[in-house]
Amino acid sequence: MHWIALPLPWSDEPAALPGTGMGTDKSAGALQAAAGWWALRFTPRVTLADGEAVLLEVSTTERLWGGREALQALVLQAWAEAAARYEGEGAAPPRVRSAEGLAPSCGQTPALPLHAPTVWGTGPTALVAHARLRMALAGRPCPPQSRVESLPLHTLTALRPHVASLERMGCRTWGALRALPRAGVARRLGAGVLQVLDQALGDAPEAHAWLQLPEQFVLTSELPALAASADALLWSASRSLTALQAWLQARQQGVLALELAWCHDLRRIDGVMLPPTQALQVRTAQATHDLAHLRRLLAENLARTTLAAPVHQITLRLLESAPLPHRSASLLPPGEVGGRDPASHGSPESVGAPGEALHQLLERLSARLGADHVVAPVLLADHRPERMQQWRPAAEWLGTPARSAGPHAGGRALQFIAPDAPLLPTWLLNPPRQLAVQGNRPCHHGLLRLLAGPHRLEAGWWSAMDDAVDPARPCADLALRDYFVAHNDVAGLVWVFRERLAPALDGTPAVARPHRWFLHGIFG
Amino acid sequence: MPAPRPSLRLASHLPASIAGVWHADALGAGTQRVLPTGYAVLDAELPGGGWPVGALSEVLQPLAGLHEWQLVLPALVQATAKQSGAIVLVAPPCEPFGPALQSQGLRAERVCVVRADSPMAALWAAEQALRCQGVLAVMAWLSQAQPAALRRLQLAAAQQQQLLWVFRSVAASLQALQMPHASPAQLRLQVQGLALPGDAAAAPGMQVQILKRRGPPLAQALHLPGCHPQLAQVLVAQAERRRAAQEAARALLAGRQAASVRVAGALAGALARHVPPVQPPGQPGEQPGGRPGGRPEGSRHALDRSAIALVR
Repeated sequence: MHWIALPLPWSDEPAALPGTGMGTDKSAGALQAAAGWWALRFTPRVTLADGEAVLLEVSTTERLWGGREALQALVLQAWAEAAARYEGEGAAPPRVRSAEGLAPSCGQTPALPLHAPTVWGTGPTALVAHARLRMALAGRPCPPQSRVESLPLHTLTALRPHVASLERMGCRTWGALRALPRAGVARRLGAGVLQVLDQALGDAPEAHAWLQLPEQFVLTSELPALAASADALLWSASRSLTALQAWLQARQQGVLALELAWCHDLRRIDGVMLPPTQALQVRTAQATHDLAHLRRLLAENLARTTLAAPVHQITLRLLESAPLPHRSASLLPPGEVGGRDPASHGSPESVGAPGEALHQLLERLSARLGADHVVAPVLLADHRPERMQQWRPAAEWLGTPARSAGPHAGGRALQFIAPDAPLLPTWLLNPPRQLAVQGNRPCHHGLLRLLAGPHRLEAGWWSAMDDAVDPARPCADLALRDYFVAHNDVAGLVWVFRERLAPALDGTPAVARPHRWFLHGIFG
Repeated sequence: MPAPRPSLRLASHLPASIAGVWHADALGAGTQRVLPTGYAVLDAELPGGGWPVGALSEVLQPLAGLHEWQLVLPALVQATAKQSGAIVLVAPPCEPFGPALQSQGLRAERVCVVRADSPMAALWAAEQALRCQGVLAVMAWLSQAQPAALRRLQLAAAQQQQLLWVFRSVAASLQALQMPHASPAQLRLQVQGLALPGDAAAAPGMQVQILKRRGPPLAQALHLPGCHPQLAQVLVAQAERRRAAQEAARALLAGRQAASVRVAGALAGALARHVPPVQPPGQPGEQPGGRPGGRPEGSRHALDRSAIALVR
């Protein structure tokens, strides 16, 4: 057995404020448990001790991570990342004091980054590791690994009430306590003391409540202060997001949908009843555990939300998640890999490149500008130009690489439009703009000269049969048009059509009136 | 490339190969990546031989919606064939027409349109798109952008090595900039359509003027085709057909005139009154006589009609 003890990357203020209510205690416990989730990626045996330390049992997994030293470095790195993430959100993690002149099993790491823990403890049992951590935290030298008996008594939590009385007997270390007659110690201090001492020295088995990930991620947290604006809410939510990320990494899942709910502090405002909670849902096209992207999405959505009342509690709930595919390392140097594959953008293997993936951009643009403002064309088989393409929200359509690479959108439509498509304009006016007519000739920035045409189009009769034709609308389902390519020096090459008059349904000829001309495209 | 003027060659003793330094009378072909434009005439005049990748190319146009695709589509088709990534259109003047783009080689599913309600939103969207690695090129229509905003876009493009075109109308750029010729763009072009002579059997072309480049100023404008070759072919063919029809109609009219004069000379004046020497166009079916020998009536009508269209 080999144990590593580390201080919690962050500790919670509510834990230090007892008696604020059951809900608070529960949520504080949940948040505290979340502080240990980052360690679950190294070993399934993680436990929290006394709300101040994370204990990892690594003897079963250290071979997987390349040896004890390598694993230890990785664990310290992960601790530093977890602490830095938390600190990056504005709250300082408990800074640990550095201890000097320590034994090798509990000491400093000069090579690690700034946020690396300056102290940790290791030992063959959880209690030894924890005791060494405490010694290092107090800045006192640790005895070497072989002389566990010389550890002071106060490093064991269970012995703390008896430290004073034992010290008066001249008993200061674990070894001294062990040397006392067991029957007398048990009679005077209780059998529990001996049990803990045996566990610490490895003579009795330890029982731990292992840290487990909840099946569903629901994290409720009380806000330290009432949040009156969406910005303040976001500040608090990002803390829950950090916990969410640890959960996702341990479960190897990615977020598809999130819900941020908040509780209003007031029941009514100006005599109007308020709903007790409000919620905001955020969805992503691709499963992600990229915290920055989730935070930006939340920020864009919260920026458009006004809080009905001050908020005192938020709940972050994971609605939908998907397993993240395992990334396989490439044999080729990055850069050219997958350059030809249109599906490669947005996939997780592009993490190394600067910038964000396309679907992230589209989701962010859609969140701020609205989904109908960020659109992508989808080609359809139809003869009416305005129906040849349809605009869909790009975040849904382009974001998923399978679809953007899929043949069903492009290939068939390409075959369909191939013959005369170069004669179509590159810009389409939708709906067509009616042109002024001067002496039977259409005008657009001056008189237009008809260069080519007519190209007669008669389509849509099948849908025109269903509903009544509205002669006022040029874009009605029934299209009876003569298209021309027209030109003048100001407007350039344009695509205009002359509306043909539909015969009325009862067979009477259409009323004679001047032809209407419409501008439908620009050869830009 | 214009011939180097001797007055600019005074500093010829300077070493020629310093990175980032070029002679002012030569094109500055630096280390910058370029994307060929697809027009040999234009490539020859652009530094490096194409659109600069990682820099702002500003295109001034008389009217939004004219000539953009014609100018950049060949380059975009090449780029999309080689690399993945979307082409983001920020605040385009109207809808790009997917079937037409696809027929010219640009797949419609690579196109993404961002409609912006305000100039600020358009700028923001353009900058965000530039910072995205899944984007291949950004085309933005920013008529009211200030130089500071354009500079920001230029920096973003340079940082991310992205293709960026900004299209502005000539009038708006003159209003927005205090100094009309100052722009942070590395390459600045002005495009306008060429006037189409009334009777020429030619497709309209476009004229590209390089206002700013890393190199000597270019005095004369470049002439590029103004529309897709297939459309140009159709237009030329139609114009030729019309001209032929016009010729035929003229010959027909002349022949009819001569015939009527002969008839008037040979017969009495009563018949000549019915057939005026010059037939006014518009009522082709009303004249009773003057039918040329052996020609069916329908074809004469068709010819007359095309002649009328040309006269109009």
